[in-house]
Amino acid sequence: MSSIIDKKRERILMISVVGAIAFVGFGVGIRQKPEKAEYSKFSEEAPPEGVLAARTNTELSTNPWRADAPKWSPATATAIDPVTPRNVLAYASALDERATSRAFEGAPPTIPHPVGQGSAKECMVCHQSRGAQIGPSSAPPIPHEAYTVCTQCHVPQSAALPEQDPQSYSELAASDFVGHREAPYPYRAWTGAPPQQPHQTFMREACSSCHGANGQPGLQTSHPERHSCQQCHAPSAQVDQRQ
Amino acid sequence: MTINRREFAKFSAMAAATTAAAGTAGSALALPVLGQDGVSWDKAPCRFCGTGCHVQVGVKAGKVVAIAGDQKAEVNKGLLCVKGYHVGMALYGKDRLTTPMLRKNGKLQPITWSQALDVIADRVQKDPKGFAFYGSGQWTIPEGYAAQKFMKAGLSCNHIDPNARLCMASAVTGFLAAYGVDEPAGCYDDLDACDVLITWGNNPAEMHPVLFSRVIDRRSKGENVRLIDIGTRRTRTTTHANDYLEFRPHTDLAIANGIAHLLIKNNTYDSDFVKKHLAFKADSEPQTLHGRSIEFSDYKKMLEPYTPEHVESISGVPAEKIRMLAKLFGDPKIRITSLWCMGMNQHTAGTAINTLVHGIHLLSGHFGKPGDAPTSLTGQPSACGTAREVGTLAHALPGGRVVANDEHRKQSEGYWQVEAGRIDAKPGYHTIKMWQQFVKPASEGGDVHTIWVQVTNPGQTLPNRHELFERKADDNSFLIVSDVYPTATTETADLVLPSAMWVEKNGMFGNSERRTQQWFKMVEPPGDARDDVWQIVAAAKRLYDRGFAGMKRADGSFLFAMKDEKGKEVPNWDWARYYDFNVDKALFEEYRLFSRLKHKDLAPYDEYVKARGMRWPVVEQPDGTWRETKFRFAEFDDPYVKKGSKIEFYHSPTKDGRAQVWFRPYEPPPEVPDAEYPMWLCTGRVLEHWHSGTMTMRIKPLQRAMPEAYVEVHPEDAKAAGVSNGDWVQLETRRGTIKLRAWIGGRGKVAKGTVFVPFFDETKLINDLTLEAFDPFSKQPDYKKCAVRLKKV
Repeated sequence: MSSIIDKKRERILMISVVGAIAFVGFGVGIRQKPEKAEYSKFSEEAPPEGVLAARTNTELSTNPWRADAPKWSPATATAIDPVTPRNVLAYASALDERATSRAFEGAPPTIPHPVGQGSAKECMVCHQSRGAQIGPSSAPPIPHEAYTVCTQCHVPQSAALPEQDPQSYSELAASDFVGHREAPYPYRAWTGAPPQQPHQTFMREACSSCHGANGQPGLQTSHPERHSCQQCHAPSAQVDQRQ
Repeated sequence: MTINRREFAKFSAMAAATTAAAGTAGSALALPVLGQDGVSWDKAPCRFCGTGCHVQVGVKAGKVVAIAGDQKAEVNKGLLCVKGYHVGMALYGKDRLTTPMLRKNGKLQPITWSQALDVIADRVQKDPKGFAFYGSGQWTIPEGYAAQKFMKAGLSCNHIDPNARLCMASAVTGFLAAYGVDEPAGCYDDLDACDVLITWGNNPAEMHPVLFSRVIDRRSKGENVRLIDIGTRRTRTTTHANDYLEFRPHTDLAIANGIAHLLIKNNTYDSDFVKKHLAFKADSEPQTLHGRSIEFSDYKKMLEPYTPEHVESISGVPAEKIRMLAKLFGDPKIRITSLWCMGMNQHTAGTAINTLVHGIHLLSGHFGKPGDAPTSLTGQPSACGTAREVGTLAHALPGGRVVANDEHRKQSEGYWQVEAGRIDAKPGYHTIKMWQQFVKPASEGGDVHTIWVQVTNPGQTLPNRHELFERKADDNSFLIVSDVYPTATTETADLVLPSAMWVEKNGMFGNSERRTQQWFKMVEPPGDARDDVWQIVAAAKRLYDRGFAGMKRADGSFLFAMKDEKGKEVPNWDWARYYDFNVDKALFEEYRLFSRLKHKDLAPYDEYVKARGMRWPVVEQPDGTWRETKFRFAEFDDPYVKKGSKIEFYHSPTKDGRAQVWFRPYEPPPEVPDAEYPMWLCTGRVLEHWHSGTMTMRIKPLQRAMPEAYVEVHPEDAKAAGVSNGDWVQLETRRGTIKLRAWIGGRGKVAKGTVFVPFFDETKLINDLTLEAFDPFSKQPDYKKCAVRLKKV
């Protein structure tokens, strides 16, 4: 157990070091400008004694990777068997799960855990590079690394506000909206043909984000050793707005 | 597949009918694209803020089922924010208004549209001069234009004003005072080119998220963008900033003066730019929009007191930070873009701070090159396109004209084909005055007997609501509200009209960067909901049929008469046949005639059908194509600048091609914290909600992420009041009280002695507490600061 925690600490340390290097690198870049940039301090000031302030991301008691810290592990490509035939049930359940976090196909997924209100840097601790595995849950790596303001598009599924009574506000959003869902099976030219990409690929260029080692079981590729997805799986000109 | 084909045929027929009847060849570009899955896609600008992103709207079986960012749109390049991605859901709240309703014995009862039109006609005929129209920066361009014509030509009454008065009026007066003509010279392309971005009391990370990430994501490509956040509250924008300069509320004037002071003192201003392109102004006695001209030497003298140390003592921003800003502005090699929105506009010295920020950009020569621009943002999708350009304001006429100008009235009467003298030369009531005159009993001088409200929710958004919205016992006043959902405004309305919204109708918007956008109707509105343009035209027709002279042109024909290709008048008042003809197009082609005077040239309607919006002036080229303009007043891009002059302010208030740099002193705001009300109250928005939440609170992913208004409290103030995170507190100002949960260290982090409350929540009306004091030039009230006290409950 302790070794796992040590590994976790090591990893956090490593992330911090990488982050610090990136930060310094950024600072060096800025210094090419005529005026030396002076960074304001954004560290959260501790509230005075006796005042309970909003919990930060890492303090939230329902935070999955706090409760499951010992189960925290990096995603590894070896976690899946190569060439596993698609499990139809797992696939259906993965699509269902996808639907619960998206109002319609193509909507940015909502966040299934509490988030802090501050910087997007917090998100990247788990969601960058290869993602992370936390107990039974996986944190997918983001498929669009150039975009750095996560909360612009992704909001949590429950309010971050303190001590809310959900009953007091649930009525207002009653809606007749029915979102479009992708067909359960993507288009194939004939039985056995490689399926066409059923969804928009814009901002989802990194296929491995959902279909790689850390994707939902039913969505993982059966052939992770192949990396050039579009060689066989054509994107749709129509869903990609190229028509 | 049968369904797909049928559906496609239906849409093809609809689009073809719309374009063909309006006299154009059906363009393939206008047709929605139908996919394998039966979803057809078409373009529309987003319904929410002034950024003006384009979305692709997915429609299946007559309903909006999906939204995607439009990759062909220059504004957002395929990206949206969380509101934009869910904008299609705004149509489907279960409580849509679907039938006209009239209040009888205190209760709203369903009536027919014909009865509703009679009620409106009766109210007008009671006394046209007491009938007012309160509109919106969410009005489409044709809607605003129809309302403008209905009031100023039809009723000869100038009591028409938009909610944009509460939102960007000070930006308008700022542009007019500095350049003699409204709207930004730069555009969003500056965000791709600037080295330094300064946000003045602005939180684009939440309010204009697509523009914010457009700048910030440049860092992912290894580019340096230095973000300097000048604010009174730490926000999500601050978390990306290199520098955060926290100032005491209202002291931004001192900061701007401090920068100008150092540019002069260090001789780092652009002397060539000053010599060729600038003149100087200060306030006159009495104050007027264009003040009095002064010499450069006078200007220098006036700035003398604003040393960095003096500015620090006023604003709380360290003197070294003022020097840092002045050094940046003094460096001609870098490109600086300033952004602002409500922080500078909802300000009792809003015109003053707007002119000062233009002033430091002009004085330092950080103007007229890509990335060098002072740019104000708008909060509503067509605050620029409709409120400002169509001029749906109490003093204005379309295309930058004003009612007080004889020539402007004459031109407008000409375009509207009404007899000379039809338009009243006296400006009508601006927003605050209009509502004051409405809620006041007639016996006490209240001379507005009816207000027709469209596309806005003053019952929630007017400041000091108790005073401005709650009617004092009156027999006589009558409130007409066209809206899509029940709101705080429909709650007290006497006549409620159900409206079509967004892609349930044709429309056009104009965004913050002078970009005019167009979309077609894609789905049917629910029940008996109808277009706002139709409501206006049909009411005008009812008056015309009753013989009301104002609804006649000089030749006796109907004021809104439109003819099809064969020269036959179309029944644009008949809902059953309303979409046989493109009424939007006819209105726009008429409105377009107004756009040349101030060089805000608009292209023909069909050009906008093809484009993802175009920025005016849009000028026809010798080869018959239409070219938009990114940078005004700069020779490299603006065709109206004299060749060889590099920069020309061709609508200069001093008529000599020069822009005006103003001196304006720092003066304290009208209400400051004191022993009785010891804290500042600031109000604003949050990422998840737009304006009064009428639409976004009915979108589940947004509503559950931010279900309720709250108050941000500084930890030390919380401790002093014995308040912990999540506790209920009561806020009280001289005007009202409210109970909210405290959020300490939450979304934003307020300065000590300050509280912040968002205004989206109709169950927690913070505008019961705000102050209606307004800027003397723009008449825009200040929602950002008043004195408040807080206690635990």
